[in-house]
Amino acid sequence: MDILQVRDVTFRYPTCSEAVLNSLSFRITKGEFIVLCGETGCGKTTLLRLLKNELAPHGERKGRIYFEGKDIEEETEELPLTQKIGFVMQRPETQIVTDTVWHELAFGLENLGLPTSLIRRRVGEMASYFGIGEWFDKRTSELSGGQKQLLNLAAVMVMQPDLLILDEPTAQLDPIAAADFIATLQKLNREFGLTILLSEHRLEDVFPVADRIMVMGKGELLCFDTPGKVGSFMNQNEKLRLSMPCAMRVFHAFSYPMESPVTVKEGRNFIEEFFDNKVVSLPGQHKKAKVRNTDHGLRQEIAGTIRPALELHEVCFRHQREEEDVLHYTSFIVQENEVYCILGGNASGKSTTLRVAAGVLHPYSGRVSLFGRKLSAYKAGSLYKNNLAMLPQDVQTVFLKNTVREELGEGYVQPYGLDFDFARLLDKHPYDLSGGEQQLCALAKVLQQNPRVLLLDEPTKGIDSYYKSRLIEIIHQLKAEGMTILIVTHDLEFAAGCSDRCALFFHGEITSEDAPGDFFEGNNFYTTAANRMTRNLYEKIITAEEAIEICRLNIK
Amino acid sequence: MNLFKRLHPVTLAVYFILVTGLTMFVNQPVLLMLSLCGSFLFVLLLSGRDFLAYLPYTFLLLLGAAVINPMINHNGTTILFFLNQRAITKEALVYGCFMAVMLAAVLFWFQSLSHLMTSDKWLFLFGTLTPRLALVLSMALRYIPLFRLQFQKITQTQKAMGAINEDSYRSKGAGSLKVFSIMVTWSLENAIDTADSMRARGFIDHHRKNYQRSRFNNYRFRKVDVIMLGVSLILTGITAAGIMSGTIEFTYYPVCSKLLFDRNTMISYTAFGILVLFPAVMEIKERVQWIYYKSGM
Repeated sequence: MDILQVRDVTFRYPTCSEAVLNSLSFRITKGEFIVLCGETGCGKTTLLRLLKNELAPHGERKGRIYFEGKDIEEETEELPLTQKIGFVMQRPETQIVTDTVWHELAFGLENLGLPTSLIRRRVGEMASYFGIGEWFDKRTSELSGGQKQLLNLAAVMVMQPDLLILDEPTAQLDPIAAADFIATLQKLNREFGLTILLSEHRLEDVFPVADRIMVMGKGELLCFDTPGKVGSFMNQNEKLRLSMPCAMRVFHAFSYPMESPVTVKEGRNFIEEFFDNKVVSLPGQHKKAKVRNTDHGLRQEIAGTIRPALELHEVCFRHQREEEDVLHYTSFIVQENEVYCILGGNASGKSTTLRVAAGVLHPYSGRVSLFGRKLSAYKAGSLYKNNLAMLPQDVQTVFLKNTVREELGEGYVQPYGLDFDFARLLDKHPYDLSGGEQQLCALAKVLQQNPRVLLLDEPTKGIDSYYKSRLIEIIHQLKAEGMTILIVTHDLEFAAGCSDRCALFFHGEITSEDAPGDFFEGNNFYTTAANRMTRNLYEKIITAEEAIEICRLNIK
Repeated sequence: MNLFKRLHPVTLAVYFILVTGLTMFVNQPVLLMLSLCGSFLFVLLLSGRDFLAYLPYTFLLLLGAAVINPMINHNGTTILFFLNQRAITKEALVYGCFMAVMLAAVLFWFQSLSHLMTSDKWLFLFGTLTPRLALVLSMALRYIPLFRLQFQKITQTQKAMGAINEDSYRSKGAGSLKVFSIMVTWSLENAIDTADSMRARGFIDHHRKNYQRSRFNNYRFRKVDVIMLGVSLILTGITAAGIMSGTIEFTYYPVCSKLLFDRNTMISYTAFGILVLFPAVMEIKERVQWIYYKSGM
């Protein structure tokens, strides 16, 4: 039975001449897990919001939307429909209404006017199912991002919806929290037959759990099919291709008459079956790795001659006197003109390390030095002029003005290495930009400080694959210009793509550091999808591009 | 394991109103001393080291309060000495001391109240008066930490960008102003999202026929609350009767009256004593009990 039916829906915003959605038609069957993907700005959010009457944007709508056979507009004056369609949005913080977890869970049920005893029962049930019991009495402001988003989901689920719509719910989460969130959705889908419509741009985790994928482009439905079959459509669009799971990217680089592999396991079987392993490592990379290795070995010997750009020496830091150390005798050296990536789990203190390195937080013992001078020796703001700049995790905090034009300054000259056209964004408010645009705009602003050392905190948070690949290019260009870059990130694929050295941060210190090839090859779990897929078949393959390249050399 | 933490907010509120009310309006040395003992022990048990750390400052404040009365009030007949040709009387000094005791007791009661009455409980109490205000307050409580955190984050970022420097108060102030202005925009942005989230979960802010929003709370009115309320009211009644009838009346001027410890007064003292010492005694009893339980495990 169709739970949702969309017929010829066209939508136009009042101020735009062009329609955002162009005669869209599709049906969703009860119990399906649908993933909606498409590049930023293709109308995904508009479509999802139209399906939920209370959130429908203002504008001119044609066509009809049926929910369980009834036109959703006809039922506006009755409450039950609100209850039947749940909606979770992107940002975890802003969706939370009340101050405590239990009140947040009860909020929707209070709105339905249910009696206390029934609310208590449903809230209790939901809290146990989602494992919220432990933080049931906490304040909502004390939760982590992942917990907040789980709370938002639970607060919608207490209303017992039949259809759950989620608009990029994992964009602001770190990969581990995101994977947990998706796993919870999968559980809801499998165990209760809940129909889920999810828009996403990080597809590695969601493709394996989806029944069908809806691919949108410029307000039109390009393709709506099983994950194995949509690949050929997505492969044609450069932006969409980058967002496909690694196995699919490798598969579509060749043409075999079969359905595409989706998971790492399937990808691995595909490679084992269709490719030799005569050439085990990439010729260019082998050499590169060798040079890097000698570099690494030499570093200790000629430490005196190589100038370290940024050095943390036995740094200890804690937020409060009574708390544990966040940084515990942390030491590392970032060399001049190097891209150094610090990876690590959630709340491991990576961000704190970066802020200590930027001189925003002050360690209680140890030394932070930039080009051999202590940070405190840079007087009167000279540290942040021509020396050091930091792009924070929440890039919105960079913006203070009302338009991008004011933000970047009149007569803005694009710094070398930042190859991006800001012209069409100039008159927008910085907060209205997409995640990727905000990131690049903030980067442009930070680069105006003309830094020699650039610190980036989770630069891939909330941006799609296209902007991620742009960011990798930009980092390469900046490096070519002579900049030293320190990145803190969760994103293994990103670190693999742009760094010279990677380090694992755990328990207040750097536990391992190496060139990316060696680093990921040496890790068994903490490694990229491409590496997991080619492990024991080929050596030191860490990105999808490298996997494709090595497969080319091994075609049977 | 804390009786007072488990009590229903209404019981808690009534108890504290009775106790602080009696303490504030009954200017009687024995009752004040009892109240001080009860509140001091209770707050000490509840907050321990934190409380002791502030105790010296509290003591200084009270000392000041005790000394000020004889300086400005020259009633009384027993002259101790002259200061600037003004008589400092024993009665005024005694009165000042007991004013300080009263202040201290009330202060300690409020400190223990703040430990027990979490914002949830306050909200519940407000909510019974006006549900709308309760929701607004709950949202405000949610919003304040969010605002503060964002303010802090923006300030840190802008500092690292060299846009704000803290070299002088003037530039620091100007920086804060800039951050504040963007925070307004940020807040409005957030409000739109929050409003969407509320509507998506069925919140309707205009009145609709036959629509009643319900109010969920975590508190149950148990038997222990009934007993607690009953006993507190009875004890207060006995004490109040003693005051009304004048059996435990105490006057400071012109001469301090004698304290009586006969049967009639003892009834009032005991009733009030039980009332104010009860929390501390319960707390100690439960701690001892807990140790006993643990050793039995």
